[in-house]
Amino acid sequence: MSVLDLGGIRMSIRPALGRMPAWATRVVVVAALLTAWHLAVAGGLVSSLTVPAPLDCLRRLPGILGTAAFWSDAARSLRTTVEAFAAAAAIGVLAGALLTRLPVVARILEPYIVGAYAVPVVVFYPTFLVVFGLGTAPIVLTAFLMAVVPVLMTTMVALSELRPTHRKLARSLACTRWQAFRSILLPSALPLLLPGLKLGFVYAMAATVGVEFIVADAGLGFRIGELYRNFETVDMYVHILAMIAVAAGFNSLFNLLERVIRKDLA
Amino acid sequence: MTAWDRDPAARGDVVVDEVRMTYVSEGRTTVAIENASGTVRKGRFVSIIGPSGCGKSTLLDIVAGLTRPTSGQVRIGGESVTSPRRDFPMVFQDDSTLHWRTVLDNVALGLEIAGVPKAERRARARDILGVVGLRGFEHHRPRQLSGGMRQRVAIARALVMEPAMLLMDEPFGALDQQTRTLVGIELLRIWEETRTSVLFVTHDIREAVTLSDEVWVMSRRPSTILDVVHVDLPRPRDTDVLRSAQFEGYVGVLWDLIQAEVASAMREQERAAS
Ligand SMILES: Nc1ncnc2c1ncn2[C@@H]1O[C@H](COP(=O)(O)OP(=O)(O)OP(=O)(O)O)[C@@H](O)[C@H]1O
Ligand SMILES: [Mg+2]
Repeated sequence: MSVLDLGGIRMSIRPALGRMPAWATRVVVVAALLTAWHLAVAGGLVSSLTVPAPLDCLRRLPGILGTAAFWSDAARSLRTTVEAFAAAAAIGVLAGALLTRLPVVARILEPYIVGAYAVPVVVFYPTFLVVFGLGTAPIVLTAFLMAVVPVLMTTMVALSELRPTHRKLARSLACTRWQAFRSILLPSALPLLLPGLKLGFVYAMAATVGVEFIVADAGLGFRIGELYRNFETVDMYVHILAMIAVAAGFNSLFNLLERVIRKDLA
Repeated sequence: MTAWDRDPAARGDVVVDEVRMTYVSEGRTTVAIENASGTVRKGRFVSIIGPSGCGKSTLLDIVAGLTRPTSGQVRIGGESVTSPRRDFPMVFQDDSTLHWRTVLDNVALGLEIAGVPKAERRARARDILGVVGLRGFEHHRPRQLSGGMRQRVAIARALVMEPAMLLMDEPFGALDQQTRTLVGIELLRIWEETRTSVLFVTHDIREAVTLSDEVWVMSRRPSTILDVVHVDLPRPRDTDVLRSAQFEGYVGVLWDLIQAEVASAMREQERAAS
């Protein structure tokens, strides 16, 4: 039995193919997708002008990984994402904690916070461009605004789900504020808090790349857009695959961190 | 002032002195406790029974120093209880174990908060786990235990503080009847071993008689302590004692006292609802 983690919603899946371990099943799935892709192109189902064959991408991969441009683009996107995420994490958690302590304010602001989820913040990007100029600032700001909402909301949910008995326990043990937070309240909030942060990172990365795609002077999103406009499909797909690898890598990193931080999963 | 209160330092008696508690919410004043007085003498097991909503939990919170009474006070050793005390630990009705900690670290929680070094607190927690019959479960997580075992973890977490008084608010209220009886018997054994002062809230008259030296019967709101029944059954309270006519006699006395209160409290609630 393995466990599938969907942003904190954990469900058990039976190994799909007989008694194979889950990781082997996953490798098979990826291999099957690649094969389907290859067959679709080789069989003429899709034109190799729109979608290149996977083997062509693979052949081109070392060439692109060898260029300084690729790494500087990747570094640029990553730095933007991390900056936006760090700000969203800090401000989202703090504001969430503050609003939980001020229920009256929270009730007044609630429709705006919930509504903020529905706003495609990207539409403000042109404004930010005009104000801050072409650079990372408008991208960081857009990505921050996208990421801060899920962090803020999950923080509020996590804190409001704290059991009254746990609060009373903290009081009856004469905990200081810090002790109550550190030993009882924070660990009991983590199962909801961490998936919120993970979601925040995903939003930050999606926003960064998406906005780079529109207008930027560097970054993976910018590069993919440029390659697209120049009909360099093979190179474009290599960049897309690299993007996916980076995103998946970060997701694994977060899952690993979650396991380290959340002692109850041990 | 009671006689015991005059020599408080010598004994760890806990004195509830003319405690009154009113709540004001939405402009309406509720007198939760009109007047409650009584003494839990050191090493005695005292139960509180009374109709639902009469202020049992409120009284326990006041004794624990979690709630300040509107007037009156609680004293131990002549000293007024005005804030939470680590030597007055509580056992709650709901499961209060911390699911991310092992059983051992759950039991050591209070000592950790009190700044006891790790090696010492673990050793003490291990000893107490033996007392509550959970030796061998040190490294389990609460979710691997039954509800009754989790309550014993909560009891161990309180006992490890070497309490001047143990406060229990319907600690078996969330358990099924069979588990409840078994954990009750376990508590009886633990208490006869440790002889800690206990203030124990319950709805279950038989449970109160089984465990207690004294049962305080609270009236409905605005509540007072209607009567104190001294349960002079021999200890250890083995099966013979618990099946004796004397035992049933105490149950009958308490039942008669509580019946009238519960009936009128229910009538009052129905009136308020309609
Ligand atoms: N924080 C509060 N604010 C206002 N009223 C309160 C508060 N806490 C308790 N009360 C009221 O005080 C009264 C006593 O409540 P308490 O919980 O102490 O009763 P109880 O005897 O423990 O009841 P139960 O048997 O149901 O546990 C109730 O009428 C309750 O509604
Ligand atoms: Mg109660």
